[in-house]
Amino acid sequence: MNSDKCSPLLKAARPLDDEVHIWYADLDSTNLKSDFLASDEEERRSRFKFDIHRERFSKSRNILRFLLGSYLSQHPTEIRFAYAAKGKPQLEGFNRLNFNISHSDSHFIAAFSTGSEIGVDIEGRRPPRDEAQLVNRFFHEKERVEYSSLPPELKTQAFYNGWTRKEALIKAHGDGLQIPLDSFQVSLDPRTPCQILSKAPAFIEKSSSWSLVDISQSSQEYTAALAAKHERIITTAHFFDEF
Amino acid sequence: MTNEECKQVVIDIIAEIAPDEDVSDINPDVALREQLDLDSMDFLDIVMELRKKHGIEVPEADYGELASLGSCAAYLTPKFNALV
Repeated sequence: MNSDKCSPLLKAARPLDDEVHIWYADLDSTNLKSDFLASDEEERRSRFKFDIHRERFSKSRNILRFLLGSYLSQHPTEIRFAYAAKGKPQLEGFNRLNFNISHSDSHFIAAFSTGSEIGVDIEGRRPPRDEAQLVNRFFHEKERVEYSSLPPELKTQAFYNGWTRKEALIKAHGDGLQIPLDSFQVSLDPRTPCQILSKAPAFIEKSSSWSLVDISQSSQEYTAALAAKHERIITTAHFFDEF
Repeated sequence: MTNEECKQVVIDIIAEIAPDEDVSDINPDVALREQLDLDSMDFLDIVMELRKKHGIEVPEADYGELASLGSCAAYLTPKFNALV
């Protein structure tokens, strides 16, 4: 390994304790000039059946490696991932940088924190799903009541609000879908603040304080949420288009 | 129902919820989410379709059993056969 390869490509200040840095990218328009993937990621990339999915996977992992390398003052190829018991990716070894990523179609989001465990979810507007059915099957009983009482023009946004907020929370927790989605309640109505309205025991066991933030940009093309195991967080938005 | 028939049931559901995916050559031993661009909403769609179309309930604790086509068949085939 030569010395150039070991140098970070860019240095970035890590988030402060109560900060979460959010990075947004459009995977289909991001220019990929380098490839930093490890052999297991290359293998995973090769398993996708369609070029577009291979490309998006490759770009999302390369952007993540680039950003982690910038925060940790390491070359992107030196980043080593480990996986928690339920599959949540984290950095190998001891360090205080937490991260989480999500992508939906070409929409990509990455969050970084030093003060708390975090989870993010982004959902693009795919062809119509049977939203009411998903709400009835997987949402909390009070969310079902709230959803059914909303005017029709707000229902789809309410559904995506609920979905991304729940997903962000279970990703921040680390146990994923094994936490029943109907065991906790978040706000759905686009006219009301983004918040957790009732916590499942699984969340209370981990921390008394959780934050939930709507991190959708003004675009109507996607909905995104961030959850953190921290009483109060400040988010800063960054946009990634080339490396 | 055989394991192979059960795999086909799962493939048919995936083809319906993710019509853009090529489901013709899924490796049964590799996680579905590593071969196809499925997210957790798609995954819960599969759970929902199993209940709606086939009367199969998959509790949250067993979601890991649906990771690959092979593990789906191992987990679901006895459930299908118990319905008969």
